[in-house]
Amino acid sequence: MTTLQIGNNIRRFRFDQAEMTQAQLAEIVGVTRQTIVALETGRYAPSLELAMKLAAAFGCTVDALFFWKDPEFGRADAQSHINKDS
Amino acid sequence: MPRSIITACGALAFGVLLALASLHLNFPMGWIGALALVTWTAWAWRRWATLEKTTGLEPGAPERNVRFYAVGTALLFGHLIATLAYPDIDFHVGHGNYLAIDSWTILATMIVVSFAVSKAGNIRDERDETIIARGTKAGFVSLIAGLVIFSFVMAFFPPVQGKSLTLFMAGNIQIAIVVASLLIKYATQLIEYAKDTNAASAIGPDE
Repeated sequence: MTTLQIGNNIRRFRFDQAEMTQAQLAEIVGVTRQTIVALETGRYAPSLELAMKLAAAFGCTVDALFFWKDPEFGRADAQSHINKDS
Repeated sequence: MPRSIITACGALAFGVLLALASLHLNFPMGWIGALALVTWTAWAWRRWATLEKTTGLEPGAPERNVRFYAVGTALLFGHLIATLAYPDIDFHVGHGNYLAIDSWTILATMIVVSFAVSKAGNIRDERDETIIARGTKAGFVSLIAGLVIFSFVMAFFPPVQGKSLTLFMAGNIQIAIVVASLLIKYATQLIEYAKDTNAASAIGPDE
């Protein structure tokens, strides 16, 4: 739980949305404020349902909100598959 | 080590002290334990209310409940384990220092206070459910391990029954194993909550 590879832009989106507070966001998506804290500090990876609720709350896509910290993750594997197929 | 775990360890030590003090003081120490539990709960809830207004670092409602149960269970376990460890302390109801009544007093107080505590809010989200599941798993594994070890000892290396080990005591040892597994469940949950919270950036933007 402490070495998550998933990062997020929740804090940035929150402040872009008229400086929405953590408590307000928590109420909109139906979680506790402490869960928003855990998400923003990168200590907790949400379920797909919560991720989609968060994206809906900010009016963006899940992709815009969450990202892999390691940009090379999976690329080597994918490349080897492409080479194999060709 | 998380502060909540240190508090639970303090409660455990206090429970041990209560049982040992009953050897010297002719006073129902369970009432002191009950009073201490009520005082700690009131103090903690006031402190968290202040933190909510100032820093935003207060624990959520499910975590508060776990902290309360951890402290109460640790107090009870400390009292129980010290009573079992010292055969001189009479555990029987109606004899000696009435330590069983002390244990029941602490347990009854814990149940009564838990009603007031749960009224403060018991909304769980997916993160709480995950943490509860981890705690329950740890508690279950420790309970099974404790009971298997106890059964193994009783079956293959039975201690000589006497003043120090009666069937009544054996029954109470099983209760202590159950209480210990509950304590492990709560401690696991507290550690998971502590891992999830980064105090340094609980409030305010970085960018």
